[in-house]
Amino acid sequence: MFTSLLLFLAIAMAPAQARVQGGDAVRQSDADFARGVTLQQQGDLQGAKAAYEASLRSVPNRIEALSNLGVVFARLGRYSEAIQIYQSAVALDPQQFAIRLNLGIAFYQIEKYELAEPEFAMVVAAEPQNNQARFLLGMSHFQLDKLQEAVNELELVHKAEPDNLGAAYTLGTAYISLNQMAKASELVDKVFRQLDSAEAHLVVGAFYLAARDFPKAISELSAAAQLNPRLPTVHSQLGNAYLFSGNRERAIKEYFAEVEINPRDFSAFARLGWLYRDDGRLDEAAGFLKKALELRPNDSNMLYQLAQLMQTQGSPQEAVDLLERVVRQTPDFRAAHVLLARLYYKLKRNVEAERERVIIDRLTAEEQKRQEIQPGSRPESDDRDEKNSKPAKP
Amino acid sequence: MIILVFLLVCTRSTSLYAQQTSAPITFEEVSAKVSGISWVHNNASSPEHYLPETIGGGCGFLDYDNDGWMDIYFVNSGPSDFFTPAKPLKNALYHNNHDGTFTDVTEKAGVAGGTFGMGVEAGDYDHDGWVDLYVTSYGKNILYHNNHDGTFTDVTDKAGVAAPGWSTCAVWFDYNNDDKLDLFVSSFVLYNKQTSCGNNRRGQKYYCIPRIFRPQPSHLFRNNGDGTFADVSKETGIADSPGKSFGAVATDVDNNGFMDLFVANDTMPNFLFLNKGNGTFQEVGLAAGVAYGAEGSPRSGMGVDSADYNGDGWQDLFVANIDQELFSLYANQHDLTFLDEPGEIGLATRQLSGWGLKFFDYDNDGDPDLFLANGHPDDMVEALVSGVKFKEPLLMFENIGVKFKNVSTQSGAIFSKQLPARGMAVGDFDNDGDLDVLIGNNGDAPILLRNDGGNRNNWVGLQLLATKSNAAAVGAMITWQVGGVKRSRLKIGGGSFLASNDPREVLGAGQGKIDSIEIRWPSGKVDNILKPPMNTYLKVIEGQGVAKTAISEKKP
Repeated sequence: MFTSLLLFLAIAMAPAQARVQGGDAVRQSDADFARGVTLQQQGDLQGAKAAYEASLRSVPNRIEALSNLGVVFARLGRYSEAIQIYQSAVALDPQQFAIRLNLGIAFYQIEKYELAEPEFAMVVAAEPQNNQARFLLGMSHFQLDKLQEAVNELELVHKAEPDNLGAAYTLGTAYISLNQMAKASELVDKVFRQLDSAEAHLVVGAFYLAARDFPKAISELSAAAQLNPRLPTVHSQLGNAYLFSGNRERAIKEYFAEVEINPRDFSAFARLGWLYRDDGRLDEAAGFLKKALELRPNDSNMLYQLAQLMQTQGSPQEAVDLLERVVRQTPDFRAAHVLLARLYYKLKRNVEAERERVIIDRLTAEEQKRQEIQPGSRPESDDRDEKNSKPAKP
Repeated sequence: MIILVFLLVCTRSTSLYAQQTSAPITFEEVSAKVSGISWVHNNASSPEHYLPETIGGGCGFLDYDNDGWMDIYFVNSGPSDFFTPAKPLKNALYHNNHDGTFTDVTEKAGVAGGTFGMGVEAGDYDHDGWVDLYVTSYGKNILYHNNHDGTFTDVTDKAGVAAPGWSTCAVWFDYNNDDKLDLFVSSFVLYNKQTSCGNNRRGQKYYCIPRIFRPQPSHLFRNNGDGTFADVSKETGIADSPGKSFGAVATDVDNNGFMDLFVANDTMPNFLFLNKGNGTFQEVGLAAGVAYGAEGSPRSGMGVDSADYNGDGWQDLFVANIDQELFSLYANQHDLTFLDEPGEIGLATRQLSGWGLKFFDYDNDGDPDLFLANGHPDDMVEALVSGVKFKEPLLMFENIGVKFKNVSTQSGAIFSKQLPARGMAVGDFDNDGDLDVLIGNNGDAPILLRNDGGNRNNWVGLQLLATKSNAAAVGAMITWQVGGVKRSRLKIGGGSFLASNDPREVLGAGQGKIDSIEIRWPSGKVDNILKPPMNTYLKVIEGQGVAKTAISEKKP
């Protein structure tokens, strides 16, 4: 969904006035640039590329030519070249916020959200009314798991553009992830419930899934899948809904459907790995977990899951190696320390085991401290969450 | 000889003994009208949802008048800093009338309680031959001394075992092998009624998850042998591990002759207190692999028990957790580590939350089966989680060798009912040789379940009367042989949840007959019984063998 939205957002720059440089070179550059614009408008991207390049040969620092050449590269899917060109342009004039926007979009397209984010932030700072930039800034925050920051931006976008379903969808998803269920519910009711598109049913279904109303989640997500069986994440979420309602067999079927249409769905592979491991089909489980790891090679949780599997398969040393990597990159991952300690004890590496035990005790004490509520205080929440109720943990 | 051994090993997958293969064994509900048990648990339920409301109530089997029949005790809520009952609430002692009915003798016995009660554990702490009662509470616990005349006296203060705070389960056992019954008391959280949880905007309260409360150290009281106890929690190392403790069981996981303690914690790692044999314990749960779930996170441990379910001579452990966490069946690996292998139990308990539970041989085929009493602690969980209910079904698992099979659907109509079960005790209330079950329901009437058919297999019941060893003979190892097959059972202390179990041991023999029984007492004394009479209870006196005045009951 994000990708398709972004395709519409990749904008062509209107040619700006070339700086007056005088002479034949400038005239030639002007002519090539004008030819490039015409060809680009006709959809001849290769021809446009050649024309802009010719224009730049005559006047190498012509910003509008650089900008449009960057757009052409982006349209051709050659994002690294587009990025290089955009960067040359903004180096010449850092105040070219339209080019910064396109630079951010190019970074976003190649999933370099951490590089896209500052570009969009600069545009928003300079042009607070630029809702497109703000939307993309919110999306970058979202992709980087900075959910509250995403909400802050997307709420403004949603207010200004209530019909921007991409913003509403992401905002709703962020609310759900942050367990701000009252806000999520309001958004779902206002924007999505009356729509009969696959995307709308997906959002409503995701809302019910987060609210742990699994029958309603299944109903909505099934409707989404029926309207568009190839909608990314629909089968994955449907799988979750079935899984949490106790229907493992159907869940597995849905996860397989997801990876069939969407081989980059990390969570479907991860779930398949866990489920196959639970069923004792360890080799197949390892295959799924490794697939998930290919998609997110440094995902600590996935490395940890694989380590668990290695332990079960009787390969403690491999498990230790993975876990040592996990705790290096995520030092507060208590479960990894627990498993590592157990394995050290098993391998008679008692000094290291005791070191892990000290870390576990510290993390446990810190967690207890965080969770404790002072006498007389009243934990308040809009809805029940794990922090102050006794919920199930699907 | 080699061939014979091979054949024996092969038969382990089903049963070692010849079996009766007729009708299934069922648990039949004995109605209040029939039993005369009219007492109902009051959970003090309030809109404020104070956490202690959802934990009780406990129940137990005990023979308080030494007539050879199991009487029943129930624990109720009562006055506390958050609850003032509209009319007085009481615990209840029911005398067994030997005919399937019971009579409420609470007032006469003087054991009505008066605290916000949780659980009960019976034990003859002064070794006078009469069982005493320890009642745990939110508030002050109570030790009732048995006066030998059908009455009890509250000796809590004199004995020094009040353990104020919030106590849940208690275990009588002899931690230092000085032949006296010591007392372990699980402490739950440091609770305060001012902290409430809920949706303030909607004015809706619900039970707080315990992780927001501070953990507390449990108590170990050493029996001084003069009617008093010394709190040795600090010097033994028990107090070094504050927990949020519920179920506890005294068992010997390393076969060193000293009783260890396995304690379930809610939202915290479980504790395995290894008895070092020098008066101290070392908490080894992490190294043993029983502290955390397989995924490395602490679970919500509630009920526990211990038994050698796979017949390898080593004590295994069981913990019931909350829904989605799976219950844990920890198989002892003989090296102070355990492997969590719940098998079919895991699948059956995925959506359930377990409290009372007990390994016992419900079909007298010689191996321990498993009974689970379940119920979710959150009375509003159904609005929150699909498929999870506040009231949940009981479960019965039959031991089929090295794993368990879910036989709930064929074990009686009670298994299709939904209950808010908490305490659960096992005992043979009708002395027919098969073990019955008592369920304490939260805010509801208790349920007495009669085992019908367990005694189609042969059995011998033992009442162990210690002369030198601790009065409950906790730590005794009983070995019996049927047709060349040997079985062993360690007499453990505690187990289940808020409950006290029949202290007698019923040894199953399948369709065979027991050739010999050996009782290795904690004192080191050994009694051997050759060719015991079958299908009857025997009193065995430490160092003297079978008493002449055996309790003899006929197979109905």
